[in-house]
Amino acid sequence: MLDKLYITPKQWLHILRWTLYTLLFLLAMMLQTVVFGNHTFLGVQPNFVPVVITCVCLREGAERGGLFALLTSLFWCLSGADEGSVSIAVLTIVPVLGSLLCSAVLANRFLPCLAITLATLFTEQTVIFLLKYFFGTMAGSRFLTDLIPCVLVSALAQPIVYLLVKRIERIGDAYESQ
Amino acid sequence: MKKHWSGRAKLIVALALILAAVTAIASGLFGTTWAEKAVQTVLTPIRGGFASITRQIERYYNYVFGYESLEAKNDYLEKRIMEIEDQIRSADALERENAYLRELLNLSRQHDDYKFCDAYIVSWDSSSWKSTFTIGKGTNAGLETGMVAVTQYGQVVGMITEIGANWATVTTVMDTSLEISASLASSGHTGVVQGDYTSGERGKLRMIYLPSEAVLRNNDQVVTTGSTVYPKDLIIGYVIDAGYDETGVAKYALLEPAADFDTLEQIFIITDFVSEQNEANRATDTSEPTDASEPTGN
Repeated sequence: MLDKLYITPKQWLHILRWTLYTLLFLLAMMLQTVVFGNHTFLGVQPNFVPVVITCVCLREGAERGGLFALLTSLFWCLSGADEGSVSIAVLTIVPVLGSLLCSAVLANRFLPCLAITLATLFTEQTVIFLLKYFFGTMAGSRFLTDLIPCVLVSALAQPIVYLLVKRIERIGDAYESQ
Repeated sequence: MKKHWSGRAKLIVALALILAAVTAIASGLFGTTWAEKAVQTVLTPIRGGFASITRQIERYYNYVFGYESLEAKNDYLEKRIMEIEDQIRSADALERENAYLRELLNLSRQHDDYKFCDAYIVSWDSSSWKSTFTIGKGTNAGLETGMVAVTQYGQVVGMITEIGANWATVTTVMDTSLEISASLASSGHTGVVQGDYTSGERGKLRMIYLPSEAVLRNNDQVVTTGSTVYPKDLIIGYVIDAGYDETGVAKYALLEPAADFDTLEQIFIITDFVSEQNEANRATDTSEPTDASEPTGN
């Protein structure tokens, strides 16, 4: 019984890795809602959460990364995100499909990750925008003036997030190679 | 790609769709769910800590780098004061507006029926399509949904739309879902103020349903008409543009919000006030709000 409770060094490294991913997600969330919540960056409010979720999902694969995407997007929804239900579906499905696409066709490198991050951001913002437009609370012209700049500015964070995620992913590599 | 499309990946995608549907339905049926309240309750102290650190950094930054901008702002404000003083001297119609302003500046002194609860903003909704923020006080401090948030000068900020034990979400006047009955201080013409979503400019308001004979001038004050939710004569904004709506029979006005949302840190919630309708409600022991200014929702 006690043998089963014992956590191996490899398991400790896994726990550390996923804790760091979670902290990165929380940091992105705090930056988005607290620091940039009432300020604009280059004229728009950046959207960092999808960037973190997509990068982690692509680096960790469709299964483990997908589960991370599902749980974090659920948390994001419950924290009061705008049209959070849409975020659960989009922020899980698009990164999972992107991860599968990377595994099958594209290399798991920076540029495919950037492309899929842009796709996630664009899909999430477009679905939310269309819902608002459908219910008559948003003018169609704001698609060009707000949505596209928001996607492009948010994607500026992707290189930093990608590097951080890549560093975190390497935790445990040295131990496993021994 | 088919060989990578494992059963677990399919399960995750299916779960995402189910959870999205469940949260959407639960939100539609019950409003704020217990799960949302739990997450917000846990997040509020973390957000409060982050907000506090951010404020300290901003203050330090402004102290070091903000001198020139403060000087420019001071020049601008001095010019603005001179303009306003000139208008007050020359135009009888603006005397009424000036009286409103002075009344609102002495809000708490003159309206001793108002009961306030102060709160700091801990986070803002980051979406481009919504304007809400979270404060670090909730039902524990005696707050309720439907209470109005104002600045220290009596400028309308918004209304509490969601609440938990130690947090509350305030939907600002700039959000398109909030509608407030309002009138022009100079002429008394009434209309409805809501967040503007057509101009593409962030942070503007739109006053609609104004009669075609309404005379609109730049910097006309727009104030609340008074109801069970909003006390009378709280300042909402200033007219910056006007025109006829799509029907051609009613006018609209584009407004600059009175409250400065860019520098907003602390707000005051009006927890109680005396109005004619409130008095009548108290007399008949009915307390349900009957105002048309509830969020319209999506």
